[in-house]
Amino acid sequence: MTSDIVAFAVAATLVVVASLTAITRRGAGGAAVAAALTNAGLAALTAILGAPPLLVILFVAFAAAVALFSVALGSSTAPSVGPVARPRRPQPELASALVAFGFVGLVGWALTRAGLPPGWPTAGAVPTELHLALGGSVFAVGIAGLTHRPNAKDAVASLGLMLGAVAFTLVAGDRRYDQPVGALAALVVIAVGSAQLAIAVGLLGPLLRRRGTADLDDIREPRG
Amino acid sequence: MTLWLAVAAPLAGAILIAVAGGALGRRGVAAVGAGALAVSFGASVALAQAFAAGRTSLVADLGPWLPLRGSALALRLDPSTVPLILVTTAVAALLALHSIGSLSRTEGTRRYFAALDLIVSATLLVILARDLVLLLAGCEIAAASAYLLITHRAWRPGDADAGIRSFVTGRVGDAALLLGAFVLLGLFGTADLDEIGSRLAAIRLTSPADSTLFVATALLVSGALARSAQLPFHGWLPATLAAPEPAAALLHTVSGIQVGVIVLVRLAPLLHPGALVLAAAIGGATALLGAIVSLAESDRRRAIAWSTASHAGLMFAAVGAGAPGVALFQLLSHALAKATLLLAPDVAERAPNARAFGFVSGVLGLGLLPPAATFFSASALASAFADRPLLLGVLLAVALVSGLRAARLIASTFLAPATGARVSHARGSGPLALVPVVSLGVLAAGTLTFGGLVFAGAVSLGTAVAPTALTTGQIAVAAASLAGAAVGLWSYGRRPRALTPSRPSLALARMSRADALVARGFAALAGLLAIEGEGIVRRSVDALGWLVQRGALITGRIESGGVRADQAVLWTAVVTLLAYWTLR
Repeated sequence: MTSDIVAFAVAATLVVVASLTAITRRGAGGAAVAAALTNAGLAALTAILGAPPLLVILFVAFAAAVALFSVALGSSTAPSVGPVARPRRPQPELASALVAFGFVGLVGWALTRAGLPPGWPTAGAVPTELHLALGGSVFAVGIAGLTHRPNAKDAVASLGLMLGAVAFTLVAGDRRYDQPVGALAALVVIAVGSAQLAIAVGLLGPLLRRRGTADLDDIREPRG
Repeated sequence: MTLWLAVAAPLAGAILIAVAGGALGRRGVAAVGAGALAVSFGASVALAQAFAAGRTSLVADLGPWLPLRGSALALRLDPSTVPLILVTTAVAALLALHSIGSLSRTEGTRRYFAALDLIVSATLLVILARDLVLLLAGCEIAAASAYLLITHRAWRPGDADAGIRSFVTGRVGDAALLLGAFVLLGLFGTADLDEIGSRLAAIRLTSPADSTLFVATALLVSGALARSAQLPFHGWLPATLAAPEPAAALLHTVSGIQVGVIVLVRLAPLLHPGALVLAAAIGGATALLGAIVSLAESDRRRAIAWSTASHAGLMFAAVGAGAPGVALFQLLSHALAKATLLLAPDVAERAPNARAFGFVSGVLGLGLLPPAATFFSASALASAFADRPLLLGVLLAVALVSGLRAARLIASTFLAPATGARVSHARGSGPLALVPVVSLGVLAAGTLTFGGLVFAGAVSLGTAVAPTALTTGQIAVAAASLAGAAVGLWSYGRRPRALTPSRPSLALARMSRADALVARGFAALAGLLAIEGEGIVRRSVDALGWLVQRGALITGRIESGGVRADQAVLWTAVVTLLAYWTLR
C-alpha cells in the first residue's frame, strides 16, 4: 500500500521534473525530448491505472508526435532570438509555474470545499487526489510554458503537455468513478488534439517563415 | 472485411505515399493514390452487391483485441448509406484519375495525393462510424486534409490566407462539436451511437423537452453548420476554391463542405426537436441567400461555391424537417452535378464535345431541371416539406433562381461573344490527357441518370425516398425551375454577357460586382428587382459580412492574437469558476 504511493510519488516527481525541463530548456531538441518524456511517463501511468490498451498506444504515439511537431516547427522557422540579441532574463517560466501550481491547489481546495461525492480520496492503493495533483501540475507547467515562451516550437510542446495532462486526469477520474466515459473522453482529447496540433504546425510553419520570425507574439494576423 | 477494406485502402494509400512517396516517383504516387481509391470503390461495389442480395446491415469490428469499455469501435453499413459510400468512392476515384491528367508537373504530387486519399478515408469513416469517438476522429482528419488541399498552392498570394480562414472557422465549429459530444458522453456514459439512440428514445418518452439534450444537440448542429459553411460561418466558403480543381470538386461534392451534412444525417436520430428547428431555419436561410448570391455573382467559380452552400442548406433543411434520407439523396445528386460542372472547364480543349456534354449536364443538374438527378431529389424535398410551407416556399424560390442561373450559365457560355483569350487548361498530352475526358463523361452520365435510377427503384435510398408516381412536388419543382430557365433564356439570351474568368482573390463574404442580374427581361418580370435587384443583393450580403466583421472586431479586442494577452482571459475564467464553486 505505502510502497505503491511512494513509487507513484517518485514517478510523478520525475514526470513533473521532465515537464519543467521541457519548458525551461532553450536548446533545439532538448525541450522536445523532455516533453516527449513527460507524455510518455503520463502514458505509462495511465497504463498502470488500467486504461484501455488502445488509449495507451495512442498516448505513446501522441508523445512522439508532439516532440516531432515541435522539432519540425523549430527547424522550419528562423532560430529564436538568442541570448546575443536579447539579454538573458531570469527564467520567468519557473516563477509562473509556481503561481500556476498555486492556482491548481486553489482549484483543488475549492473543489473539496464545494463538497465532493463521499468516499472521494480512496480509490485503490494510490489516492485519486495524487493523480489529480499530478495532472494539475503538468497542466500548470504547460500553461506557464505557453504563456512565457513566445517561441512557436515551445508553445507546441507546452500545448502537448496540457493535452496529455488533461487526458491523464480524465483517465484518473474514469478509474475513480468506475465509468468508461473518462477513457473515451481522453481518447477524443488525444485524437482531436493531435490533429489540431498537426494543422496548427502546418499553418504556423509557412506563416512564421514568411515573417522571418519564430515568435508567436509577432503574429497578429487573423483579426477582424 | 470488405467494409474494412473500403476505409483502410485509401488510408493505406495515404500512408504509403507519405512515407515512401519519394521512392515511388511522380507516376508511382499518382498510381498508388488513384489505385487505392479504386480499390475502395471496388469494395463498395462488392458491399452494394451484398446488400442487393438481401443483407440489411453489416458491422465490422475495428479491433476486437483492443477493447474499449463503453464504446463500439466498429464500422456499420446500412442500406441507406450504401449509395453514399458508392458515390463517394466513385466520385473520389474519378477525381483522382482526373487529377493525374490535369495536375501540372511542378505541383507537389505526393502531398496532393496523400491528402486526397486521407480525406476520402476520413469521410468514409464519418459515414460508417458506429461510434462517437470514431465519428469525431473522422471529422478531424477530414478537416486536416481539407486544410492540406486548400493550401496546396500556398505560394499563391491569397491561398495561405484562405488556409488560415478555413482553419479558424473549422476550430470554431470543432469547439461546438466537441462540447456537444462531451455532454452526450457525460449524459450517457457511452460513445456507441446505437446505444445513445435507444437510451434517448427512453428519455424522450419521459421528458421530451430536456434542456440539457437541447444544448448538447444544438452544439452538435452548430458544429455541423460550421463544417458546411452555413450562414454565420460562410466566411471560408470561397477559400475552398483555392484547392486544385479536382480537389476543389471533391471538397464541394462528397467531402469538405459536405462533411457537416453527413455528420448531421448520422446524428439525426439523436437530435432534439429544437435543434432540428435550428438546422431547418439556418439551412433554409442559407439555401435562399446562397441561391440569390450565386445568381448575382459574376465570377463563375464563386457562383458555384455559393450554390454549394445553397444546396447544403437544402440538405440541412431536409434533416430539420425529419427526412435525412432525402438529405442524402440531395447530397448525392448534387455531388454528381457539381463535380461535372467544376471539372468541365478543366478538360482539354480538344475534346469540345465531352466538354459541352459535361457542361450542359452539370448546368441541368444545378438548375434542378427535369432529366437531371437533382430534379428528382428536389421533388423528394418538396414532398418532405409538404407540411412546412415556409421551407416549401424557400425550395420553390431556390428552384426558380436555379433555373435562372442555369439559363445564365448557358447564355454566357454559348451565346456570349468570346472575350479575348480564354484560359487554357490543356495540360496533359498523350493517353493521359484522355483520362479526364472519360472521367468527366462518366460523371455527366451519372448526373443525368442517377435520379431516374432512384425514381425507378433501381437504387434504394431508404423508405424516405420511395419511388412514387408523378407527385405534386415534382410538378411544382419542375414548374419553378423551368419557369426560371425560360425567363432566364429569354432575358439573358437577348443580351448575353460572358462571365469574368475566375480570380484568385478571396474577400470575406464580399461579392464582386453583380453585373448581369438586372437583365431587361428580368426587369419586365419584377419591377422592383429590376430597379434595385443588384443593389439589394449586394447590400444584404455586405450587411451580413459587416455584422460578422463587427462581432469579430469586438471579440478581437479581447482576443488580440497575442499569447500573453490571452493569459488575462484564461485567469479570469479560472477565477470566475473558483468564485462560482466556492460561493455557490
